[in-house]
Amino acid sequence: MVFNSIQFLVFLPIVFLLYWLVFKPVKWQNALIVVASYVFYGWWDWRFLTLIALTSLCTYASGVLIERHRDKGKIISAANIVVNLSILGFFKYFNFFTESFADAMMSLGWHCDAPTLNIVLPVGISFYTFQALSYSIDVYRKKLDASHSLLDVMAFISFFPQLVAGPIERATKLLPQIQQPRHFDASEATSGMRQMLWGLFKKMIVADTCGMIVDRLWEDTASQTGFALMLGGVLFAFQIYADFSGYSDIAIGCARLFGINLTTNFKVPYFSRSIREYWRRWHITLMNWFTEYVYFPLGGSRGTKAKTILNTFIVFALSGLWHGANWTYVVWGLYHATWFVPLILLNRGRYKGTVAAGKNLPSLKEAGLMLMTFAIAAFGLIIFRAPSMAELGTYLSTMFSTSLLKVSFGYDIKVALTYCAIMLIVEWIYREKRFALDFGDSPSGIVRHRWVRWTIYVVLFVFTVLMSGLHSNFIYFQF
Amino acid sequence: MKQFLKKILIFSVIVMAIFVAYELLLLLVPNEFSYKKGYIEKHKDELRILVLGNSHLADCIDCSLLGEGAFNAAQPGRSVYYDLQLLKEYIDQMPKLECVVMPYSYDYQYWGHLHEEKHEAKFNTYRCMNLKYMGYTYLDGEWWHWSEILNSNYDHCGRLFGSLYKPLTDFTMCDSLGIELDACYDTRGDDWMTKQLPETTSLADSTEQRLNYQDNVKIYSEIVTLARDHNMRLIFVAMPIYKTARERVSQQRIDEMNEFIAMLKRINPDIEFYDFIDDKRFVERDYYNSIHLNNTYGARKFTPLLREIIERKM
Repeated sequence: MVFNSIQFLVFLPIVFLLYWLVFKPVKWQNALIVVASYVFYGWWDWRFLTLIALTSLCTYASGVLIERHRDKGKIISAANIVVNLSILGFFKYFNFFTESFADAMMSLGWHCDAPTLNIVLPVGISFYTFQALSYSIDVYRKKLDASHSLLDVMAFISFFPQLVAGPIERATKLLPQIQQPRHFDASEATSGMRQMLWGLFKKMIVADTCGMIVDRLWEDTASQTGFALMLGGVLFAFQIYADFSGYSDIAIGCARLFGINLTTNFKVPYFSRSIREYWRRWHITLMNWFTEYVYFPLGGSRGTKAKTILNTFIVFALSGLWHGANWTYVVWGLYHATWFVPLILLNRGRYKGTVAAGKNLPSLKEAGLMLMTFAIAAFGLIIFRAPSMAELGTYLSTMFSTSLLKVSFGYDIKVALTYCAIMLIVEWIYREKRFALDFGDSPSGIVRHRWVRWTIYVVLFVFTVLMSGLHSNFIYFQF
Repeated sequence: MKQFLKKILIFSVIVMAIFVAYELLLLLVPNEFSYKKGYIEKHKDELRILVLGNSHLADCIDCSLLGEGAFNAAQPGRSVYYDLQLLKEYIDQMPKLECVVMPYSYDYQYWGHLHEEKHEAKFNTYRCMNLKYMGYTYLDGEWWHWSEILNSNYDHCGRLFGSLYKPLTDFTMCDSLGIELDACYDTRGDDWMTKQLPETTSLADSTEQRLNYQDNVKIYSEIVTLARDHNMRLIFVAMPIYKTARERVSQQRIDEMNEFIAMLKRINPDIEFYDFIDDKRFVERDYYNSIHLNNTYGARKFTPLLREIIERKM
């Protein structure tokens, strides 16, 4: 089931009403969360529910065993990691590793037939696997007490708003919320609805409009002009941001309806002044996960600069690989790591707070830095979008040809850029808030009038539904 | 909680009212579906020749060249299922109807929208437009199939808001006798000969196509039976295709087409089939893309040939 579907439009109110009106004790609410989450996931393919159940069971058992046998905690935690990563590895990377191994053998002159399997990738497997791993590692590190309720662990791993595309929650944040009684807060719920509405607009209007153009350009890169492909890169940057941050907004807003606060996943990353700041604002929960469980254990930035650079490259390569079984993702990760090298060496690019805080507009220098960071990120996303390294080559060679100067904007590109501009303007205005349309409890300015706020909600919702279909999938489902 | 639910309820009522008004206002803007249905309804007593089917005929049969009482009711992407519905509804109400022309070609027995995921949006669109503007339900139709907002990609926003500043007739997409307006020679683009090239492999191999085949056997059988029972002349034509497309169509597929027609002939030996696939009279300028004739030169060349066929037995 996807958020932008009729099924979800029916599913959500039913679960919401049952949750607050019928299933009041926390245990019952958690049971409802598990059932609703399994229905939500099973709508796509019920066979893979066994994988989520298996992951939940292993994770629960590992927590209990670690607590009982502290001396063997490392082995138990490692066993849980091996089981979960094996499932992930089999479904996501089996063909990639066997084919890459065969290619490597071929390059050495040995012929080797790679065994490939026709494996269907379970939606969201990378997200819930990482969430499950965080639980057993945190229990092992004594940051969290093991849960003795299988139901709670199942609810923690399968909580439907963030099950298939995050945010990847740390057990230390989400599990206590699941264990505590929850009370309905009308103002949080209203704000959650606003966040969902903004997420829907980003996904269904901005991302889907840009996506249609980007897909068309990638279908036949050789016959496009360099300028069109350059615009395609820019549009894809907006598409993936609107798609994924839109999903995160819907997920976070939806969770707030159930009295649960999820971690912010995107903080206006395209207003970053350096690539370092960008990565503090883009897919925050994934980068936090890698920082906590990979970067810090490797030594983080505590050693020499060379060691810090090496650790950065490892983290970005892994984060690239996390996205999918394709060398383009690894190259994308390494590309970003490369941009970190001068920042690490010169100890630059650390910005605290949001750009132009308390002002209407950024300074010229800030605007220049934001533009440069966006250009770096957008170029990286061309690598990310490429189906293969060969197609990336074709795209880039066509883009950097003389036709790069053939400036032309088709009607659909103008429409897409207009939507992107609306999104950017609204997000700029609300850049210091949790999300755009976060009017707070006592709104100021023109939105202090209730009728203005209601007009915004109605127009935005009606426009979103009319101008798009209720059909397309989110990009990050495939990861 | 009460306050929150009240707000949600008010919001839902407002947006629902807007959506209902929107759906109703769309009924006022003409489109190809409503136009063709309206034309048939209005002229059912006079119609002699009715052209059904999809873009292959919609693009290139100029009924003004077929003589009095001819109408092109074909529509791009139309499934034969809706042709059958239309025939069922009107065959008894058209006293002068002498002949129905339909397309048939090398992949029609495998063609449909129902069983293919990639065609889901198209299927939903046609199901909705045929229900809302022509009154034909698909199998057990649901009430929500009527909503364009929920089902259709047929540019409802463009139609409704465009109608504020464009004449309403601009939204019909066809001329008064039904030929499509956009399949012009002048607008076909430089790469026309590589557009819409057929699949090279046999379509019989996939599960979806086999399911389409089973559906089509029933539907075509019903159509030829209907023609037999009403003494109506049914002419199938296989349209010319350009050499870039022809190269991709194997003999096996041509044989499959002929076998299917032979099967239909066993039900109704009077049906006629004319194969123009390899007709050398059609040259580059007659095409709109690799598998469609254009409404300019193509229509002017093909329609007289069709007229000759029709008049041969009249």
